[in-house]
Amino acid sequence: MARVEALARPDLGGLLPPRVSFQLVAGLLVLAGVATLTLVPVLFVIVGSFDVRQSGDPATFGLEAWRSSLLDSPRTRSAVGYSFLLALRAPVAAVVAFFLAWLIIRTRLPARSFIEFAFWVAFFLPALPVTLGWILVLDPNYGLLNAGVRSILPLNGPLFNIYSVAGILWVHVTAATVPVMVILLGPALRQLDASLEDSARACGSSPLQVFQKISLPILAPAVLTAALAGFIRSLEAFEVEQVLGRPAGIYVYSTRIYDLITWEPPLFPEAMALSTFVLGILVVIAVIYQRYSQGRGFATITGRGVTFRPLATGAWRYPASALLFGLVAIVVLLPIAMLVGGSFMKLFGFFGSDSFTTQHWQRVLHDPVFLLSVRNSLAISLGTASLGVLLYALLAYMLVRSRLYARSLIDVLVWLPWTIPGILLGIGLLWLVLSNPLLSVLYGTTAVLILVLVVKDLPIGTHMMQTSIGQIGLELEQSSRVCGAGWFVTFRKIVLPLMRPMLVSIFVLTFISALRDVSTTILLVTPSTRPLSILMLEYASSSARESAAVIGVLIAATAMVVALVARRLGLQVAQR
Amino acid sequence: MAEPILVVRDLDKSYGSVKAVDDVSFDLHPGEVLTLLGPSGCGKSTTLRLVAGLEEPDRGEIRVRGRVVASAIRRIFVPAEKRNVGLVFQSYAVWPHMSVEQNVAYPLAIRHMPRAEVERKVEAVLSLVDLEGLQKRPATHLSGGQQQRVALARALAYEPDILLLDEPLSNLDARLREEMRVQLRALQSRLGTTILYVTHDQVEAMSLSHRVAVMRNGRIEQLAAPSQIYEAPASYFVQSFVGRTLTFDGLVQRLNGATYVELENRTRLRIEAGGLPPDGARVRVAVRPEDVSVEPLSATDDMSCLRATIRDLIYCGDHFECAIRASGVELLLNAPKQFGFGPGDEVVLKVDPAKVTAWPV
Repeated sequence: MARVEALARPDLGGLLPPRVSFQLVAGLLVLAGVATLTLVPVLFVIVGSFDVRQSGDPATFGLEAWRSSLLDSPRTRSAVGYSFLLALRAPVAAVVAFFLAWLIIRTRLPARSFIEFAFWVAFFLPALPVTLGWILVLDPNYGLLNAGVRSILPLNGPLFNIYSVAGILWVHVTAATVPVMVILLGPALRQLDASLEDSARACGSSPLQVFQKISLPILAPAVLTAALAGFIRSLEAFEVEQVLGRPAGIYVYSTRIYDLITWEPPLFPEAMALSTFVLGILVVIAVIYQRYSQGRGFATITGRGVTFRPLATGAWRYPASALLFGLVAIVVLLPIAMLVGGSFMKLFGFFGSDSFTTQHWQRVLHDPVFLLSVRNSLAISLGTASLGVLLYALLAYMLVRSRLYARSLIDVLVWLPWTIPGILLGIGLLWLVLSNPLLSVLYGTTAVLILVLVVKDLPIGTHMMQTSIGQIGLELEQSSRVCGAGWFVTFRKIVLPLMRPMLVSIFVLTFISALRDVSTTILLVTPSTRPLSILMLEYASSSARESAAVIGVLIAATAMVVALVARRLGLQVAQR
Repeated sequence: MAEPILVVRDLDKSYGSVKAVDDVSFDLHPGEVLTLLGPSGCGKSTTLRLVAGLEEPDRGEIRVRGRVVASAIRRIFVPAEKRNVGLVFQSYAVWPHMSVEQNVAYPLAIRHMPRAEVERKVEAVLSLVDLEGLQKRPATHLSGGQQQRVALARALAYEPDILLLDEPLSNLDARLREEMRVQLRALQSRLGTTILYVTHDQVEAMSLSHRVAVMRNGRIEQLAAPSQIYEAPASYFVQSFVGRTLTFDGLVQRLNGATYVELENRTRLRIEAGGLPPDGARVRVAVRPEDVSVEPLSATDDMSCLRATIRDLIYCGDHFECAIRASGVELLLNAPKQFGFGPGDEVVLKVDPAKVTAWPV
């Protein structure tokens, strides 16, 4: 056996060159890049709220904007109040959604998969087309339901008025809050191990007792997490309040910000002060949420080798199923049917035997403004989805697998836009672009819209990718490295192909999110870059509601096709 | 001896406060199979990963073919892809989105080998591991044993300087494991591949290696040929980890020039091991079961005999397992089928004094 030779140790003492670490340089670069996208716009908003110069003057700082917007303006104060009042729908909806999801997923209701699919469609439907549909039902003057009630009961005024807090709540809850939570709670309910319930049954509990003592306590954290997340998300809302709230003088903070900025001349400092104030509150809620959801929520109920068996139910499953069917018909089918009808009406809202026409379709489809918007929408959505998928995958890979410097800080910054409603993200980027001469060339370009939309979906996209990468065995990558491939080749040839189902899902999600977005882009849009969703909002807010309905049908149809495709893909993902 | 292919010197690697690899040094010569053997957590896999370039050492140096690939003090770290080593994991790590052929061709394509040559090589290496005809199969449609051979083919295809095998047989069932072990041995002697092998299975270690390094708590306890590890273990740990041992605790006693260990019940066991502590010191004596025979009580009352009682006789098909109690210790011995004793019988265990080892406690 060869003797182990002593290792010659050259005394290099202080002569060692400082090691320029790749991890350090790359880490700082990524950190700077992510911070530019997420933190800098926020900082610009905060600083901007104290910047009270008149145009052309050097920067002067003061609290005037804060005073005039928050203390002296009753409209701004009431907007903040309404925002949080309306956000209270989230906890209520979470409870409703939990029971609905439980019925759909854990019982053997007849046609439960159709009902689930209807919620899936509702999940993807943009809010604005649905709002238009509801206007046709609940408008105080021409609403179908009001007219119907009036023909039966001798009433003076309308029974329902959609231009009210109740109307706004109704549209939000039925079109978004409940369907979203049903879909989000689905995985948690599916992953609840049936053997937990079976053991309780074997101990002699009735199904109701099992639900009370076993299922509900186990799932409660997931519901609470959904409620908190929904509360934060519901502060995103903009277009529903813009269409339904403004005519009644009801403002939320987001429509108020839009108001201040579209003022002539724009009241930037006041808008920034209001933004900063809301941001502060949101950060507090988000931190509470983060504290609470850590190690709880959806993750706690996941387990391996989960067996799942829907509960057999008694005779009451038929009425329960009928009830759900009715609910779905009212919530999803009715507004869509009304919207389609509205697009063919001579005058929006006026029903009659000879009141239908295709002239709006012909006009809109030949309108160059519309055609430009279609092109813009496609460019923006495709651009956002492509760039987003690439960026999220790359970032997620670095966060999960590398030893980059400052990874945890990057993680926080990536998560930051999750707490920032679209309109605040928009105002931040707008201010950043306007106040920087180098960046001002970006103003009025499609690129800036793609950029802000990519940032908007950065948290969810990166997070989903991180989960997906975490599920790829580390040894699959290490084998590639040992075989002679560098990290980028490994990423391209091993990691990306293995996460293809997730890439496709995120592409679809980002595409649809960009297609339907209003609040994030509205402050950055110019007539030449205007997408369909914004065009629709402009038509809906003016008197061109027939045209808005036509565009609404098109957007809703696209969203539904994508929902179908996504479901197919989702099923594929589940099969893998 | 020829210049070693792999030189590992003074390697340290810690995770937090845990020292996973502690001052490990060894050489690996061309065509040699060296096995790192030890229980889980002994640092054998970490050592392998340090050689592969998947971990960076805190201290020490690694050289492959004379080239320094890792040196803590000289701040050199060559990443895995530039070391030209091959690695097979316990989990196979066969890429599920590629066919058998694509898996094996991957390292060759990375090296920009012409397509025709890649095809030729893939075919050759697949026939080497008995996978001809499965080229087009998706890798995940294969059995565990076949996947393991794909991983092996992939690692052999580019003729790496060293083949690193990390518990390659542990995921296979017992029968397949035995088959693969024999095949691996034949393959190695045919190709003369230099292999660094990691396992916790002593049979694999014994039968496949030219030398074995028994590791414990991050350190190499003994590095020697398999026969030496078994016959002349350097520590009680090595002896008890490799093969079966019968163990007694007792006190050293010297009488009339002979050395004894006094066990419980004042039984004395003569031993010939040298270098023992002074009289009265506690020691642990160990002996291999095959160096012990069961004799009737009437046998000569030699000092290397222990009185014992047969507690139970367990039928195991081709042999009996015999539970015996001797000097307050429960032992398990294999007995032939034509064993003349039964439960309750008083017997004598005859121990060859030259085969008994004694270790300070």
